[in-house]
Amino acid sequence: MAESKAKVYIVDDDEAVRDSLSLLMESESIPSCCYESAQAFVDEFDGGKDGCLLLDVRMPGMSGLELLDWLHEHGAQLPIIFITGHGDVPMAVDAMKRGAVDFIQKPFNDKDVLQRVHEAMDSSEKTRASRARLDNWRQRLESLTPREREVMTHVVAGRPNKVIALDLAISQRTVEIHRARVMHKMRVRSIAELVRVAALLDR
Amino acid sequence: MGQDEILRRRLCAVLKSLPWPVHGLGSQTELPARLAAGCIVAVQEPDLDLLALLQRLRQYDDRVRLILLTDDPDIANAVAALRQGVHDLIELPLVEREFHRRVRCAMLTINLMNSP
Repeated sequence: MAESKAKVYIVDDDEAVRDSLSLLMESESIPSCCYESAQAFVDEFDGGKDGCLLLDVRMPGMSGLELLDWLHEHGAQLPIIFITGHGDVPMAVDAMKRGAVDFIQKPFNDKDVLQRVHEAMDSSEKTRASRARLDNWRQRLESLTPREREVMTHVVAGRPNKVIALDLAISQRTVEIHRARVMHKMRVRSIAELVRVAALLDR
Repeated sequence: MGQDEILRRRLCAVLKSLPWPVHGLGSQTELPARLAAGCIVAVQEPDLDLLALLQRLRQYDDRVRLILLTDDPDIANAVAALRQGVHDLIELPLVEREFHRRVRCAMLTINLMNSP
């Protein structure tokens, strides 16, 4: 299950729906937070929200689909579950193609909603964890000197020390020292691990 | 792809005006052994095993898209299909212009060629 900071953000202009969804979350001890409009959510958005968004499609002012686009434009990776009473197939297809993780019709089944929320929260937590891991690797990469980065590029490409030394016009012993420092600073135990990390950072 | 020959022929005729080669297939068993890139437009028929079809498509290159045509639109089924990996879902009867647009979009996502 997601960490305690993660919440379910409920955005719906219908107070009864907000109350019912928030009670449902409470019944499963899932922290939630309600907004009466997409704009209210945007106004409070700081980019650091984890969890998932339960979003109505049709609302006065900014619609749910507009909020989805806005979140994508701002690099937010919150999984979005649409809940609507006025949906049709083209609307559902459009929402899913734009990146929603689910589209549920009102009246909804409590069990279904909870299951989808749990799935979305888990996926959000995985995304957050992998983002944190990547940031960590990036920081380690940034701690390398330009020469160490150069040596790392050669090592990752599978070149032996002898060839790297010739390419960089330095001694083989110096290459070995740089190589050892790269392994130490990147905190990897093998070249295979270094190659894997380099590939992740390259994406 | 679809068992209904009349519908299949009509679909092929509609798609022929797009700049990609079109092949009609009666069923999943007629799918080629190898497919580098492209778009499969499948009619959702009672016999269609969507999961098996998606599994079959996963054996191809990841530049193969599946568009499902359905005359029994249901939000829950549509969402389930998209979650399983269907690229797009279009309701029958077809609006030719919209159908062309969606197939072009699917083809463009696999970067086969520029918009004709």
